[in-house]
Amino acid sequence: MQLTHTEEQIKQAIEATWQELLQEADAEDYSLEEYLEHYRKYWDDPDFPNDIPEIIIRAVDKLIGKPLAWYCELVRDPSGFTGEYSFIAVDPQTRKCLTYRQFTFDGVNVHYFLSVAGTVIYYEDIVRLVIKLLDQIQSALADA
Amino acid sequence: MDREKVLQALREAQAEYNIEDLDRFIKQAWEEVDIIDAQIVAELTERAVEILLDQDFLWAHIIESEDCEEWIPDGWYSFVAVHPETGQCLTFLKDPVYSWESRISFSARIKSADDAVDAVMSLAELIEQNLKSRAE
Repeated sequence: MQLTHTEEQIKQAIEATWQELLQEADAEDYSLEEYLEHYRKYWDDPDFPNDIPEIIIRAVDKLIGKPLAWYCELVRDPSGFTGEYSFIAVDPQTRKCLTYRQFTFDGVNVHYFLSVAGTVIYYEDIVRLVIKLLDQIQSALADA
Repeated sequence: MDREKVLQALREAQAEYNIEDLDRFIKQAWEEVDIIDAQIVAELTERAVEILLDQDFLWAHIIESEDCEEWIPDGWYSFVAVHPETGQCLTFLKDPVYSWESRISFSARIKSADDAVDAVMSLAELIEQNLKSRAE
């Protein structure tokens, strides 16, 4: 399925979300790039306010045009947080899991995926993950 | 839901995982910070629900922890269940006011075999409600 939004619109939604979060926190004006610089240094510090899932969720909601119900896992291995986020989105009206998909590589074995995941280190990773989620969610909404 | 049936389902799941003393196993998982055992506790809970409802589901779970760095399990688990054919979220709990505030996961503290019984019972009841509302 082709995305209905341009990369520019996606970046605008991310920026608008970032500004919203700053306002809500009554924080001084600093850019998402600056935040990400701190994030790269302190992401496994338990006191570091991790805003990445909120940025991604709100940006996708804006682009889809309605708020979805979400679940986000910060993926860990025994050494700690890996930098990967795993999202599950559900349409609150229909209860359909919009990140659920099944496919087969060989025509025999079917693989099931409940979530859409991606690693976030740089700004471009956020854009990529929003695009990935939008692509999946729009396809699921079109199929409903 | 009949507590005896829940216990029976848990016993069957326990046998599938070759666990002798469920209470000790669950306590060990969080007391000894054993993330692998905590994974098994989550999977065993899911499996007991499937046995109880006689259906297979697709699952996602989170083992909650006290902090990001050390990943120390704190005894809390979150579960998401999805129907494999319809893609319906079965752990959905609608917020009466704001639909997007609806929860799509079920959380339970499992620190003992008794907690596991309560968790399996509540999780199975929530899934049954969702299955019923889908059919209506």
